[in-house]
Parts: sequence; structure tokens; C-alpha cells
Amino acid sequence: MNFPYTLIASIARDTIEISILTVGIYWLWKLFRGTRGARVLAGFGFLLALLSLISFALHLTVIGQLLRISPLFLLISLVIIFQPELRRIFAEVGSRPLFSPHRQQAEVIEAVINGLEQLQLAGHGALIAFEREITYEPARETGTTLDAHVSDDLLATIFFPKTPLHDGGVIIVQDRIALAAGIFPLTQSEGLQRTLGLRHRAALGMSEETDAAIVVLSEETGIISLAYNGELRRPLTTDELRSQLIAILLNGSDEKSLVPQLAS
Amino acid sequence: MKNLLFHNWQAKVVCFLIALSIWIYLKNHDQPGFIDQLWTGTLTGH
Repeated sequence: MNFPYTLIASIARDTIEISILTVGIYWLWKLFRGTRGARVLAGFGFLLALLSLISFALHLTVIGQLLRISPLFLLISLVIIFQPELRRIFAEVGSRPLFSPHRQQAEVIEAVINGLEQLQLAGHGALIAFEREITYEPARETGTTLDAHVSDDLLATIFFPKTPLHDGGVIIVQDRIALAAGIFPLTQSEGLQRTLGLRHRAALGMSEETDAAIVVLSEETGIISLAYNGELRRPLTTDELRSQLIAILLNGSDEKSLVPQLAS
Repeated sequence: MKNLLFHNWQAKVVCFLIALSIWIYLKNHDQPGFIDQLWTGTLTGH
């Protein structure tokens, strides 16, 4: 009589365990994504998982024995390979706030828009990425770390053509300018207008590689564009940019409904 | 919710497979013979 209940409880327990493991592995994958060792880890993990499933399904006892002794060696080698990343992760976990207040992000959006207006008036260009969940590690390695409060004057100064930091892009994480002069990946998309320069290609490339929202101000035309999810929306007024950034960063909604204008 | 599940679904499927394998491995370690029981369909829930 008791049997079905124990079985249901056991299945529920197993489901919870597997779910926690899945979430943990996905979280680790997100943290390691973009790092040098990520491909090694992904390939090794996938191979191990595949072999385990095959050995389980086909009852391959010798492969099973081999797999049984491999985790310890794998764990030790992973700690050695990912030593710098692990240090960064622990530092991040220690310093990350529990909540990201919307008010602060709204202020950041406002500061960026004010900065863009200043740069637009001066006839300068800009490339600003709002980082979300996925980080693009190469940009962090190539850029200059700032960790500064976001302000319109600072952005206008960074993108002033005679300064050393004006080349490349700025990455904003939460309410801080994490770095300037970061090199973003260039898109290989063939469908982009020929008149669009490297800044737009970099913005689009970054939006293909990560889930960041990237704002581009064209130096030549003063047109504002927004790259997100592999799409380039332009031309945008500052009001349109504000509403799209709020939708992406604050509401996390699907912004495709918000007047998408794709560059053909 | 839909976005939470389906955004980046390929990566999530791979993570699930890895989690499943780790879980099966550890379960068998904890309960020797678990895989055989699973294979022969004689799991009792204990």
C-alpha cells in the first residue's frame, strides 16, 4: 500500500537532484563561457556524458570501470586549467550584490543617453555595450579596466577622438563602466550595408556572441543604432533608444515588438 | 518563463545530459547495483 508513495517520493527526490545538478552545470558553463579553457571543458564534459550514457545503455562494463576512476583526475586537472577563472569567479561571487536595483539601471540608461547626445553634438562616435548574463572575455583581456561610475561626461570624455581610450568599446556592467577600449568581435554577416563601418560590425558581432545590448553612435552620420540578439536596429531617436533599452535591460521583455528596424 | 526554458536551449540540453550522467554515476556509487536495477526495471524506490 505504501509502495507507490515511496516510489513517487523517490522520483521527486531524484528529479530535484537532477534539476539542481543541471542548473549548477549550466551556471558553471555560463561563467566559463568565452574563456580559453571553455572549449576544452565543453568537449571533455560532452564526451564524458556521452560515454557514460552509452556505457549505461549498452551495459559496457569495462568502459564503465574506466569512467568510474576518471572523475578524480578530471577534477584535479580542471582546477589547474581553470585556476585564473576560478579565482575570478570566487571574487565575483563575493562581491556581487543580491539584487540589482532597477532605479540604478534607469539612471545608467539616462546617463548613457545624455552622453550620446553630447557626442552627437560634437560629431564623435561611440560604442557602448550593456553586459547582461554572458560575458565576452576577450574584450576584458584587451580593454582597459575602469570600474567607474557611469556619467555622461565620462562617456563623452572616453570617446573624445584624441584620447587613448576612444578606440574600441565601453562595457557597462550593472551600474559601472567596467572597461573602455575593449575589442569586440566583428560580425561575419554579409547582409550588412557597405556604408556601415567597423563600429557597427563590432556591435553586431558582440550581439551575436553574447546577450548584451550594444549602442552605436555613428561618427559620420550621427545616427544611433542598437544591436541586440544579432540584429541591428537603426536609425533610432534617443526616445526610441531609451524605450528599447528599458525593455531589454529592465523588463527583460522580447523587444522585437518594439519597432524593430533592421539594417538591410 | 518560456524565455527561461528555451533561451539557449542547446546548452541547457547538454547540461541536462551531463547532469544526468553525473547523477547516474554518483547514484550507482552510493547504491551499488543501481544501474542494474534501473536496467532490469526492479527499482523499488528505497
